[in-house]
Amino acid sequence: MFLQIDNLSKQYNHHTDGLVDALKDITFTIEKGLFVTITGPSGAGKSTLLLMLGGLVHPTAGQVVFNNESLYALQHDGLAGFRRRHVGFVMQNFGLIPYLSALQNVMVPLALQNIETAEQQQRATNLLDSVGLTGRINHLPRELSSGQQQRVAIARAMANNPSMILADEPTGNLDPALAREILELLKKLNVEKNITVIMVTHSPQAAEYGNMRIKLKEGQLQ
Amino acid sequence: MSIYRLVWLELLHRKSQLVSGLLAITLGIAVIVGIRSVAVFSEKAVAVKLDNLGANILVLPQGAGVDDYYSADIDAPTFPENYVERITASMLPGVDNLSPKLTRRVKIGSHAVVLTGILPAGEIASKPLWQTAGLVGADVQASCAPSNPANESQGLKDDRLQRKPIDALSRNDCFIGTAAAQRLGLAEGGTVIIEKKEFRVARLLPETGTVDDDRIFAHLHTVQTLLGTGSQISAIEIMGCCNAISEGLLGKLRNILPDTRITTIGQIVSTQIETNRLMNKISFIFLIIILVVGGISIGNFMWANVNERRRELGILLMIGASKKKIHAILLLKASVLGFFGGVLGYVIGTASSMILGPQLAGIVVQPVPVLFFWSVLLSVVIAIVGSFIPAYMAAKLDPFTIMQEL
Repeated sequence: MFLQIDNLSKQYNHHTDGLVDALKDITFTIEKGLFVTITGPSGAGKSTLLLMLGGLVHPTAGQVVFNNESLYALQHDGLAGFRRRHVGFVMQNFGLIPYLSALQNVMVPLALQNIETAEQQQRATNLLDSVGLTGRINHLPRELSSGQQQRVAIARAMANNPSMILADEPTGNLDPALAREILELLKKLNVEKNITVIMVTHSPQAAEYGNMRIKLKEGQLQ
Repeated sequence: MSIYRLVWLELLHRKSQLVSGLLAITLGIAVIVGIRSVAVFSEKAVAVKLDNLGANILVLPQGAGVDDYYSADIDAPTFPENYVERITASMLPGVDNLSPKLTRRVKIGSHAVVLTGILPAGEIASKPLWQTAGLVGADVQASCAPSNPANESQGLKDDRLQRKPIDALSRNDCFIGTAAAQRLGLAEGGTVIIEKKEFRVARLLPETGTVDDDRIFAHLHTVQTLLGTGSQISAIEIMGCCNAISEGLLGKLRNILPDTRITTIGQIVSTQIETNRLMNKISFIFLIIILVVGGISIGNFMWANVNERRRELGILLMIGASKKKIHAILLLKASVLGFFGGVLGYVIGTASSMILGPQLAGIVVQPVPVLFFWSVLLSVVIAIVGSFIPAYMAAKLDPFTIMQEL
């Protein structure tokens, strides 16, 4: 089993509302190579679920099992290692470091794995080529369009050859044409490289890309 | 891309923050370096002045006053000559030179003059124990006064060169001060009868403007025989290192010679020692202030930086940076700031002291290389200590909250 979610719950202590259930007793499994979409209204717990799958938010109850290993049995360093080796993140606002060029942004995850600079540069250049940014590698994020920034973010997510890409509203800030380009790019990676894509989206069109669709409402599966 | 490059690019990205952070630590270090540089050269200048002044500690018999020493009364008390050996045997640091003396007023014809028995340097050198103690005509130690070439390069005039040491003095020779020679009508190469013994005038001493101008100097042991005092002396003059005096040399001498009276010659000694103490205290106080203020400034700067960089730090956590790595990135940044702050602080502090030293303290100040090492070390330590809590807090940032902001 690639990814197994067992009775997962998450409660937050809200400063005015007290304890709030973000996720309530969710159970499902994801096979390797699927394109999973998670939809639901705002506050349904979509992003919380995504971050929990990425090892960034500890569950209140239940567990996330990745390749037969309980994720949250790991300590902080173990979870960071899990993210470095297995997960690529793509966020709505791209999450690029503003003072680094496109090339340097893609090199950062490789630097965290202590890969030599020459190899970092080679791999990052190839990745930027593969997302169609050959002539833009030395541009800062502010010098790129939204679509180009999201491509850089996807190239960075691919830098560590991840098992899965976790995308949180990756087309939320893009016009329909650019959104389609990005979704096609994710689909291409999913099909050609057999990378599992788990994407949170509000868009019904984007959700159509999924071959496994999860709907959340008030923290529960629908 | 290395972590070092990441830190460097971030520093250059926020130039105004870089300048303000660097300025806080640079100015603090510059103040310490400036004060220490002036203090170091002030101590050297004081040591040279004291050295030029000659003996600055006087060992007298118990109950004797300085007046007794100078008036050379016939009844003035004495103490055994072997007290000199007690001092040398103790190997006290800071005793740079010493000279036992027996002083008595004698009549030559109708003139009363002061006869002083001294031991020439050559005779002192013949005593192995004294040689071991390094007391014989040795250059003053660097801790006390710099060597002559160093003195001159620092603009400190070494007047000892004008006071040629009495290296050799035959038992039948004497040296005569200018005023005494004039009163007695003596010239170099002539003879003089003192207490029925004939002495050859080996040298007329240059005028010093002190009581020495009225004195006749002869070999200590000859004078002891002549006056029938036995192996007694009336004083031991010591050239004490000023640092050692401030660190309690007088008290240590009193422990060795409890039945004597030990005093410093001249107000200048205590004044200069107090000045040096004051400089050291000021340095220390500034050091504490800089440590506290510099640490808080850097801590505040780093905390503001962490808050401003929450998004970046969240991205790094997201793509797999461990908390240790986040911690290391921030402390590396602090170290870089500290290093450059230390270097700049040393340069500015040294330049300021070189410019202001002659104007404010009347001394020539030159760079003190050892302060470079301490500046950089202190600066890096302040920066790291000040940044430790912000870096720790940054590593504890809640990824979920940050990710919501992305």
